[in-house]
Amino acid sequence: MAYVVVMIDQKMSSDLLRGHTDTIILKLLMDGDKYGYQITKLIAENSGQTYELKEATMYSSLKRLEHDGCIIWYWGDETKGGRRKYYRITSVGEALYTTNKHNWDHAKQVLDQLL
Amino acid sequence: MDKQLENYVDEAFRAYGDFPALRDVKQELLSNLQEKFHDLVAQGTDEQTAYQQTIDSVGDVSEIMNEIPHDVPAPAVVATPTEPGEPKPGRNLAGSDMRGADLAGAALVNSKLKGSALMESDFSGADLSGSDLRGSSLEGVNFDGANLSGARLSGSSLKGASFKGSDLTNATIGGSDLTGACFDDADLTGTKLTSAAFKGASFDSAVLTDTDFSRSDLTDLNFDNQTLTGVFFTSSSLKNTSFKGAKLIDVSFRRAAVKHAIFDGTTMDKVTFAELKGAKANVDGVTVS
Repeated sequence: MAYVVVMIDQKMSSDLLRGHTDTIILKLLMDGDKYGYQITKLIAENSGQTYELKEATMYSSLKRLEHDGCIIWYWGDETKGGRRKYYRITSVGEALYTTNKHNWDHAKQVLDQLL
Repeated sequence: MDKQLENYVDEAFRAYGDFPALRDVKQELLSNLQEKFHDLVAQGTDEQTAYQQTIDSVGDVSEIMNEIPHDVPAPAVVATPTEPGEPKPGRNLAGSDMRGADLAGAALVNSKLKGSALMESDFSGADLSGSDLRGSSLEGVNFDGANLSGARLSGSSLKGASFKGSDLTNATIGGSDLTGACFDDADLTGTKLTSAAFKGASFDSAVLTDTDFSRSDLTDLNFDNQTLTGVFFTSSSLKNTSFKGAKLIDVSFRRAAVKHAIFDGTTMDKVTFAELKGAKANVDGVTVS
């Protein structure tokens, strides 16, 4: 598997994945509230270190999701180190995730037949 | 290295100036980068490589700026006299930090307060008609009795804000966090409250005419004994939302989640009734007028 990954055009596959950043983040928040670094770390881990979500891409997505009412945030109560901003999915966000996941499943099925 | 990361973040955003919403993002980004750097070092990466990998993970900060309302730094221009008939421009206070400020009764017509930090400020009885408060931090702000007609408050955090008796006609408050907000006795004629989160918000005796709640989360809210005319609930979430004893006239529930909404003793017109019935809402206790 590792050899195949090296062969894939990194730029191209990252553009494809980037289009799904909002949905990927919503999915992570469905399992519980998270702060920024946790999100990028989990995406790296869950993809077997094959995809690194850039901080800037993540924040533009978080801002957009917040603006659309899909997530809300609150400050954590850490006693040491910097304060962490935690993100929580709203029911609007859960509905968007379900729609996006459904659309993806459909697109995947069509592409599998066409490519 | 922490200082070096701080300098790196400062430098990356230097072109955009300094305002509260940006300061928050920078602080959050920096704390992520510091945690990543320390993780890498703890895993045995040498400091120089860890630093390089950390700053490589930032990406293009202009992506973030596309999503944050900000004034593009512009060259100074000579002020031109205002044409008669044009709306008088208000105060420009965009990006300012005025948390906890006493602005009760202030005249702030058409003001620019975009991206400002105004937590716990007092705007009671103030005239903010036509003002721009988009992307601001407005948690716990007191807008009681304020004139907010035509004001723009989209993308703001308004947790626990109070709008008691305020005039919000034709204001836009899309995509905002309105959890625990109070709209009692407020005039919400033509107000856009779209894509917003309303957990624990109250609307007692509010004027609800042509109000737009599309794509909002209205779970557990209470509209009992209210009159709703021409209100839009398009694609909104209405789980356990109560309309007991309410009067609904030309209210749109298109694609809304109405299955668990409560319509006991609700009076409504034929069209509204037909739409709700078709969407499998429980309409057993409804009176059609």
